[in-house]
Amino acid sequence: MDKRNLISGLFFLGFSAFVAVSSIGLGIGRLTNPQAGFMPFWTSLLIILFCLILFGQTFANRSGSAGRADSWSQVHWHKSMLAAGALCVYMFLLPEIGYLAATSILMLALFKLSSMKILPAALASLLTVILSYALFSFILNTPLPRGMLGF
Amino acid sequence: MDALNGLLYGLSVAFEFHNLGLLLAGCLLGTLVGVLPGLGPVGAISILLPLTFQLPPAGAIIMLAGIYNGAMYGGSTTSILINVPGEAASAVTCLDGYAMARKGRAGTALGIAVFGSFIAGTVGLIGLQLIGGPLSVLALKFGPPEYFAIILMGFTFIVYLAQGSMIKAVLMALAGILLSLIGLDPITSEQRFTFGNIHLFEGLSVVPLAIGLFGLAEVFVNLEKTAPARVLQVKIKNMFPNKSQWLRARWAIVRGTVIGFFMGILPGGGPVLSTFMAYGVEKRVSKHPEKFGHGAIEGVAAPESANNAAASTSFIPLMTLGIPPNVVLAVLFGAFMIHGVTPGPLLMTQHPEIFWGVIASMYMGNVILLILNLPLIPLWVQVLRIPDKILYPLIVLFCLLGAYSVHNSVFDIGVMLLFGMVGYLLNKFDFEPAPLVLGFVLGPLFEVNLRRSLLMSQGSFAIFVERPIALVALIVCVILIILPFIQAIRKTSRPIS
Amino acid sequence: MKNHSRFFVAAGVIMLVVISLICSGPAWAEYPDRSITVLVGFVPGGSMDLSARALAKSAEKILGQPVMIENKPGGTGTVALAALLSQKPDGYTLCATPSSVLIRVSQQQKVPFKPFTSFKTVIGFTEPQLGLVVKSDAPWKTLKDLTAYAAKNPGKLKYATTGVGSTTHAAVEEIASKDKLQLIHVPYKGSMEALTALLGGHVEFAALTSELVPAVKSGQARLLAVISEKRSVKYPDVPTMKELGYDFANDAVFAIVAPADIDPAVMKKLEGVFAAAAKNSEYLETLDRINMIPVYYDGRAFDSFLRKHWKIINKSLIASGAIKEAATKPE
Repeated sequence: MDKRNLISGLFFLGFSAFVAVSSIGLGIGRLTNPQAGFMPFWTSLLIILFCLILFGQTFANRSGSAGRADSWSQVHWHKSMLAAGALCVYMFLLPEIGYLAATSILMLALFKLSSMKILPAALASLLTVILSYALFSFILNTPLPRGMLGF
Repeated sequence: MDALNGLLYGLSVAFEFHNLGLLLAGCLLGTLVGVLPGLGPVGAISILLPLTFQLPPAGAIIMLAGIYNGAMYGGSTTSILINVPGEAASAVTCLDGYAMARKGRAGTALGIAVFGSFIAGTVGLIGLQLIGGPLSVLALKFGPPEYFAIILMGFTFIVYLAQGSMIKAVLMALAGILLSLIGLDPITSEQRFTFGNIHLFEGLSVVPLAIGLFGLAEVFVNLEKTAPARVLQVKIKNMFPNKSQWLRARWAIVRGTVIGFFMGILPGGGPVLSTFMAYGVEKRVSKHPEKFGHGAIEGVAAPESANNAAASTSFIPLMTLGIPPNVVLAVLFGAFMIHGVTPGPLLMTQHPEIFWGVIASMYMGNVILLILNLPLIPLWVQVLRIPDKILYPLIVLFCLLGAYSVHNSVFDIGVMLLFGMVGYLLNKFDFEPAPLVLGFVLGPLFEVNLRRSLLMSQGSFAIFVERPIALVALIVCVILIILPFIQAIRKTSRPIS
Repeated sequence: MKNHSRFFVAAGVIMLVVISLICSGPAWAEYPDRSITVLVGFVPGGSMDLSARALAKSAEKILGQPVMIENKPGGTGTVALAALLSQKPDGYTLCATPSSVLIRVSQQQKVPFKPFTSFKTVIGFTEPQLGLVVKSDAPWKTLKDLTAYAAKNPGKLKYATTGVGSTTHAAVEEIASKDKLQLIHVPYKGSMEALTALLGGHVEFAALTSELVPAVKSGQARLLAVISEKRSVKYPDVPTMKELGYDFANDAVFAIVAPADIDPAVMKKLEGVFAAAAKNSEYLETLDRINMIPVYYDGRAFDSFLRKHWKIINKSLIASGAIKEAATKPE
């Protein structure tokens, strides 16, 4: 039995139950005049239906494979988490200190994370950030976010 | 003016020195923005629009059309190389294109994409030139019920997008529909699921979502591997498709072209839908459907051809009716207007130099882009030689620039990041992102056309069977759903030899 | 190794400082000493974007500094206005917006600004050509023909508009309520989609914005009435809705606004510059090509325009059931 199907199925059930309840709040309307909740309501009901089928399949296949063994173990999943974390921090820094500064920091962190030495990492991040900034600002005329320092 | 004389006249316009230069510039720039994810032809054309104010109308339109075509060629490059779809229409190309690249066949994938694009783009132009008028009349026949039926047909292609569990693929598509419903209700303009956030008023945009699900998720999945699967441990084999690959891709290109040709004319999500349809059809007719998703060349050739054929034929409603069928052509429509030219039924008689000049320049643009893109392939493949520790951070930078440049919005970077993490989890839980993108693209079209149809018919479903086009499309739908079941039953009832 | 990395960090910091100095420039120079950005809350290529670009181009000749358009689409135009308020009110960032975002969208959705008081209007410069059209092979020659037919055939006529609660929808609602007609509304997203539906024969008539002009010009559609205070210069023979007895006129004027706490001296300069820019002949020619009508509202006139139409729209939105009360307080 693949436990992952149960977890994902439960998530979908919760998700669609929330949508279905909110849809009723939006108003489902009648066929002559379907309202805003019409589409989300029926879609979430379909999701619930298919979740139940997925559960049925999973239980019927009790003896089957337990899923990929390597999905969490045997990997450095903290690396992906760190990268995602760095991007989260970046999101908040970007509007404050502008593209050039924020992205330099992000790239430095990412290069470090993929085990580069500090020196080439610093060089590489400065280079990529300045090049991308130049490309967008001067050739493509698309302004990248400026921070409080004006760049 | 008949078609041949018109074309000759158009060529004489397009071959004028400054027009040729503008076409070349347009193609080059289009290729550049096509390769960069996010900033697609819409962005590029609108940025250049003010610069074309000083140009004569024909030259300006020729250049802007060149950008559009160039972007269509370049769109698949990042999908194939680094799994980052630059636009919704190249999301399908990720499936087999990236798989091919991982097997060292990036050159072949890029090559077949370019050749497929060239053939399909040219065929589309011939169609535009010869039967544009009648076709546009047909396109107008598509009202809400007809769209509803076609989109329903599009949904049946989920069956062919699924590589693993069918149930999970359906769940993904349904989740995609729900995500697409965030934002303003298309009929009543109420807010749905926006939680008061103004960035959600118009819903999530598809490009950051697709870049996150495919590109960023792929980086996350690869970052954590102990011994990173070297993209280029594998030797890069031949740069261009060889004879046997050609033979396999040949019919895929033809079928992709036909599908793209007709879908491109329809106002609304034509090109995107055509790529999903072309992919589904290939998998359906293939003798080895199990190879799809693991680097089947047909899986690159068909959607790329469909995409470009649709790009060519989408000019039909613009040039003959004055109706731009997609966002890019809406910007181009603006460009026509700015230059005092009104696209529509009178274009051919009032401004023959523009009508024929643009068509002729698009033929030439296809040739220029073929010549331009082929030598680029070996260069692109070198990207894969970059060591992972440098490549992955660069891909992340690419993803976030792409997400940002769609709407110049930091919020979109957040959307991309969120869906990067979602894509990472989907991978862990054995779900596939492609059906989600399909659901996301088709969801709003499905809803709005269903509700408009019901408004028109005052709540009666009879409207879908009373109109011939809708009826035919619905019958095809039913057949497409039932066929796999019949085959499955046949297979099981047949004694195992 | 350590020394090297310190060196590079220091070098990086110095570089950033240098760049910031170059970009920010001296603070004491006279306004404007660098380029001005005009935010547009819609995608490029639409009538809001094109008309703002045309005016910006005309203004930069007078200002002597580049005036750049930056598209910030989203939130039905409200994202750009919110973004304007997050910038310094130094006159280097402005926003081009249709009045409908301030008075119509703000009533339908809760927005993070006060439509009457968060902004000062530099200029109201143009409005789209609104009108009621039928297909050119339709039997109705005048609006009266159409309403007479609709009165005899209740629930038969379908019409397309640019969306529920839009100006075009409100215009037809006004006709329907005055003549007590029973019509079927099929809302579309934007004028182009609605025009497509009309030309395909999926609806009998449509209320459209500027996109109607090329279709009327090419003979695909017939204009029955224009929705504006005065008759259109382009169509002197077509009556306005007001002349036909319906108390309704266009409430969509495109304007350039600045944050309310802008320096009055800078504001005065901007007002002068844009008023002059709106008289430029090349600009007027561009407006005509994109089928927009030039108008002129100064700050005060635009403010009273907003207040007047806020009330009218409020009444019509509540009457059509779209809202129960305005989602945003205007001041």
